[in-house]
Amino acid sequence: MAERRLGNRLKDIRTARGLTQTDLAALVGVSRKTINTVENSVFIPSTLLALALAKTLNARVEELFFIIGEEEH
Amino acid sequence: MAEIQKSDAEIVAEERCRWRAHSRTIIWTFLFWLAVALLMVAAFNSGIPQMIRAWAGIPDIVVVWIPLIFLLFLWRILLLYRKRFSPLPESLRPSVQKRLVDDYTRRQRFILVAFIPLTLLLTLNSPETHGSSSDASWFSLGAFVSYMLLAALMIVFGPGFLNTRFRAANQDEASRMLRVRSTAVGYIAAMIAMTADYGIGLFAPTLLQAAIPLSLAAAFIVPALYYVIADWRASLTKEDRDG
Repeated sequence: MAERRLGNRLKDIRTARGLTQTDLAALVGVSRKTINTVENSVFIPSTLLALALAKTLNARVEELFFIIGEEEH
Repeated sequence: MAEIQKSDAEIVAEERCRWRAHSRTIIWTFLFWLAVALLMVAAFNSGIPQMIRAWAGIPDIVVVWIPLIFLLFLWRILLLYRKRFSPLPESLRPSVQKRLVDDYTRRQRFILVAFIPLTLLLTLNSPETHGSSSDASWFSLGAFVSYMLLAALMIVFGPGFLNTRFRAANQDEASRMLRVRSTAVGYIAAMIAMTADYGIGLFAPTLLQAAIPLSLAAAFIVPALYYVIADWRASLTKEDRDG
């Protein structure tokens, strides 16, 4: 079974909304480092944070995050 | 009644004041109960209680329960204290929360950076690692100051978990991830250090007394350094990392 990793389009969607990392962090209530490390796939965010990011960016969670290495069905 | 709108900076300043008040209360509570405990130890070892007990006819079982009653009293004080200092974190604006998280992580970095030289100083001062300490009085003075600073830092910053807002800031996912990874690194460092101690104990027992304080220091310094470096790297964007 292929290793499953979490990819994200957070940076693309954030910049499309005209937000900096600091702006987004202030809107979600986390540190800029959290946004930066999620964007760089340093760690997998919690469901709570993923939902908060999606709500703030007015996007669906699936648009923000996707699984790398899993076959699409 | 019209609600007064405060800026993020004003709210953060108020929160910092509350944290400082929180730290002060912790220190005074700690000192008070330390004094109570010492007085109790002194009282129970002075022979006076036996006289009083004999005079008043207090059974032994009551004397045994007195420390527990004090502990329950302490627990009640802590609960009241939490109620006093625990406004709802949900009431904070996300932008304020972000500033508080930044403030908290700054404190945490400062503590770790301060702990590393203090730990090194304490390790170097150990008679086993330093040899005879009789010819180095400044080392003893340094050790005393280090102990006091470590104790003060632990008291001021350590019990922050009692404060709901402090805990909320502590739950920031990046710093939580860093803490988890630092703990894992610390565990590995401690295991390596202990294995090395066993090896030294087997093959060079005379060095064991010097190795133990060094391994204890390594078990703390390695994860602390890891945290500080990883925290710095977490602030770098992908462009920064790629140069």
